[in-house]
Amino acid sequence: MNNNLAIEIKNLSKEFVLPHHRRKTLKETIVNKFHKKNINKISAIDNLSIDIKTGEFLGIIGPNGAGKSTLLKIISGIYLPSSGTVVVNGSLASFIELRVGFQKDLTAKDNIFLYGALLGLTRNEVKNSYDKIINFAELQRFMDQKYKYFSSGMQLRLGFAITSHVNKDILLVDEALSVGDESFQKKCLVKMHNLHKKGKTIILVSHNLNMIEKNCTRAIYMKEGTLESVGKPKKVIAKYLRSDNTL
Amino acid sequence: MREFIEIRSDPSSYFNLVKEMVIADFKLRYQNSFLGILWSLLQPMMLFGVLLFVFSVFARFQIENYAYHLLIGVVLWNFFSEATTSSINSLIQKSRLIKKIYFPRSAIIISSTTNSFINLLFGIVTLLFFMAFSEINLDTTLFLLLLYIIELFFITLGTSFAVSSLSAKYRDISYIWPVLLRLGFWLTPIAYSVSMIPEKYHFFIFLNPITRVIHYSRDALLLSKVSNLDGLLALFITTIIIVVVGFSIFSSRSLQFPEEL
Repeated sequence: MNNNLAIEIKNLSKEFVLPHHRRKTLKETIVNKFHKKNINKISAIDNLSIDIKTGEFLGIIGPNGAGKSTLLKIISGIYLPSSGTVVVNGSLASFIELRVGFQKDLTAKDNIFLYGALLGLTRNEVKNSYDKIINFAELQRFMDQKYKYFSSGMQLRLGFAITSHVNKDILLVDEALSVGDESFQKKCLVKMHNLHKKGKTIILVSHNLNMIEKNCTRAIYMKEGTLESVGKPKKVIAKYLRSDNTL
Repeated sequence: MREFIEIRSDPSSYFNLVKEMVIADFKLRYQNSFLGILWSLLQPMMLFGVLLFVFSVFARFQIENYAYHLLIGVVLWNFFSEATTSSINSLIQKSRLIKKIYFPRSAIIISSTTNSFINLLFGIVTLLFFMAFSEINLDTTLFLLLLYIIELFFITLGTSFAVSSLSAKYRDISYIWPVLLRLGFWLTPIAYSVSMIPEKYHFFIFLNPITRVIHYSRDALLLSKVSNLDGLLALFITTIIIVVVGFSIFSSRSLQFPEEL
């Protein structure tokens, strides 16, 4: 373990069994025990190694299906690696998708406490940052409204506000930001910068290349589960655009 | 044993998560009903009213206070049956969440079982209310009921852990389980009493821990009797075994949930 590293990934591979080859029922399991079919697997991440330093603002780009989200899910502990190791030093919060983790029939206020609990906070910790969260989200007037009446922009505001105020060492943000309006997106970036200044590690997945170039200290370009390029955002993006044009 | 490590490393946020999930479920349950939370009391009252009426007027058995005999069995069994079924459902309902956010998965099962347990408490309050108006004398032995339902809670929790985590891999379980519950209803002395079973089979029916819970609860409520120590010890040990085995199955299976659900 190296203390300067937030995340150490060594020879990580992740394979998924294609859904129609998965044994779902007792019968299938028993039948398959006798004649083994060739099981179709897709490799989502293929022998990937990277060290992410504490305090980095890392951008991840790449076409759909490159394994970006799978990588984030492995880092956050949702998926287990098929082989290789991932070591995460420090606590982690992720903002991967809108709506997930929120109950549409509960008020925004109730949802803040529920979501906070899902991210591993105690009730007091949520209470202490409650005002900051609603100020940031600019939703003071809507706290007693049910979540289902929120527009997707408002849902984003609430979700990002909670995730970015939980005070974890590492913050993972997936493409969700794209539904926000210009001014809120800016606000999110400012917030991420502030967290970055405080020494937090931030990983941002986005298709908004401009955003990555302006904000990240380093970028990686993923393609078919491998690292195609790592380095200065400008250089990595240029490489991505060049290979993208050939498609 | 990731689930266990998770609980031990930060118990306060773990139990906060369970608490928030219980509160959320509770608030959601009676969302759009006019009488809201009152249904928690009205539902068992109506059910008991029907059963009491049917069995005190039409059917007459040799057992004294047959209707109450039955009610005690039904209340306790209903908890087991409702809680284990809803543990399967809540795991499936929360599948999107499980795929997107990492949090200790066992909290889902503990909170759904706790929610059913709250229902059981309402049921017991209703039962005691009915009994207060009958000719049965309630004794201080009724406080033993508290011990029995706590053991029942853990038996149910352990079973829910096992059944729900296996159903993530084998969806058949969600179809087989209700059938097994039906069978269990008749293999457990709910509609009948232990005394109606020939002595030589007692060993077998007492292998079922729920039989003990129901039998001892009837002793405490209807006969003011304290159950024997051997039996209590046997119940205690079975409870622990069920929780440990159930939790171990859940905890090793839970790593696969995001891909299986």
